[in-house]
Amino acid sequence: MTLAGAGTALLAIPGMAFMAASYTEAAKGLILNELDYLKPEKAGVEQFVQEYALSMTPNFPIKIRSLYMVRASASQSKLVNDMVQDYLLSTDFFRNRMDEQKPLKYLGLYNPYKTPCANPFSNLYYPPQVS
Amino acid sequence: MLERGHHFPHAERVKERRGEQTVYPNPNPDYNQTQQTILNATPEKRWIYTLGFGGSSNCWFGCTPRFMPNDFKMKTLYGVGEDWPVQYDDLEPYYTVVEEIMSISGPAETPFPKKSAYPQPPHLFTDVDQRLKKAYGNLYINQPTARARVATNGRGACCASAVCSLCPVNAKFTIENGSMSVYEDPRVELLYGAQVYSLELANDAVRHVHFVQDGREQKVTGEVIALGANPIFNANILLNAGDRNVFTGKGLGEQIGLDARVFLKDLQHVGGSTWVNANGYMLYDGDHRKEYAACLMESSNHPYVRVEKGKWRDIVTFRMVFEDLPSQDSYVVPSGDRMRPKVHYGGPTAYALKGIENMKQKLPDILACLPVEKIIYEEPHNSEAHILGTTRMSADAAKGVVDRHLIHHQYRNLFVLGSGAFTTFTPSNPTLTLSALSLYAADKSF
Repeated sequence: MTLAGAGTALLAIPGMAFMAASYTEAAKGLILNELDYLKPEKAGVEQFVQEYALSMTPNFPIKIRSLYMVRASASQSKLVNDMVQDYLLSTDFFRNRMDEQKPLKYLGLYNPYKTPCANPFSNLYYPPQVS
Repeated sequence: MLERGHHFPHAERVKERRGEQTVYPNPNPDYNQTQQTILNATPEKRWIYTLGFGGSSNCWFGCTPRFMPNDFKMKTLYGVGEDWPVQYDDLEPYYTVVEEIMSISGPAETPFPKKSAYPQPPHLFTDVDQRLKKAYGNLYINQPTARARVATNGRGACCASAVCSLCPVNAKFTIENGSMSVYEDPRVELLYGAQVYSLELANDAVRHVHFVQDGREQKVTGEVIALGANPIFNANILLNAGDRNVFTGKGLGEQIGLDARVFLKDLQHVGGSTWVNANGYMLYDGDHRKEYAACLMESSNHPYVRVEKGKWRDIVTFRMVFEDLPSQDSYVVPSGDRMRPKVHYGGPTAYALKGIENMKQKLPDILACLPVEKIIYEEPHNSEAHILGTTRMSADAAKGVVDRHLIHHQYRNLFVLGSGAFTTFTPSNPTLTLSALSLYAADKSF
């Protein structure tokens, strides 16, 4: 099942008070639920979700709160998938070669204009093998 | 030279993206304002372009494959569209000149004939690209690109930041970083903020060019005139002037692109040195074009992932780009506002849609050299940002608007430049070819 948007979530829970969780709690919850096998620093996650909301449209927090109410996963919601992906890009996870045992350190919102050449999959991070 | 927009330097535009204060406000319209410069009769289809000095060089992504020789003879070989009055061999030396001017990076071997080496070495493949290269030889190549592989003439080396519409390290060729010498010639006078909207025609020639600057009506004259707006506005200027060629404004089109997300088993897509590392030609040319569209593959390298434990980068996304045929259902006409053309889009043709379906059938076999878990096809993108057609090139006025030298069939002191002149649309990116056509036209006409 995939969730096309917040409207879907609201239809799914018509009787619930969907404002129960704040945006910050909801966004943190979605990320931590999705990445429960990694070791994200909670303060970093909180800083990320607050900075991330500033780069999104005004109704983004409402969508996130709705998705949190139905515990949407990245495989069900593109919005959640993108947020989790952007969180990981904003940490040292990929620079550490996706080491799932290391704590995730928040480095700042991923922005190629503030930090060019930071694509963690490029040749700068995976140089050609010399045989 | 009459320039509709204004010069807002690259460094200032990068500051905007960083959220920093600029030296002066951006004088050019933003994306939403630009969309209001036309009357879009089919607003579900967007036409993407940018206004400002430097034009599309400011926002292009710098993909510069040549067309294939057979792209120029679609009627003869495949019975669709029309043949171009200019052929690949005519353009070959001019392709080379453009590649020198733009310092194009590219491989030693290509699927199209090429007499000279690319000025810059090729970008690096990812591990996935290397497997495809091994399987398909010169049908799978490092993408020829204006995103520099090595720093040159004030341009940085591309480092795969993957936000090419405005390169953070100024790696892609733009007018600003590569062709300012033209404007610095003392014989050239450049007027900013001057929107041309019509021509005065008499005795099969252009006598005056009408424009508005700072709200004031003005006109200029010249022995030779060249229109260099995009195909929508070039057509509007001609139609406002009373051009009665039946093809003017007709056959507006675009390529169609969609993403194929390929999930891999224990193979990482890492190591590329630019945004599009490779082009695949496995679905491009052949007799299938009698029935359905050619497809050009682009291997994408922006930082997407799978949000799945242990499989983060075991995924590759290919952008599959399809040609389309000029359609009479897509066209430009004047509106009640002479500055704002009205644009109609009839949708992709059955020829293009059949190409997409064929691709979905064949791609699994094409990717058999990779450990594919599954393929997910996204919906087509709304736009490839390549506006084509409206002033098509032809051997005579019965079949098109301009001749092989981009000169209007009727108004013989008028060049109509750009991708509006394309007789048919290929899946290849248009900028290199439209640039070569301009050099060819100038060389043969003066």
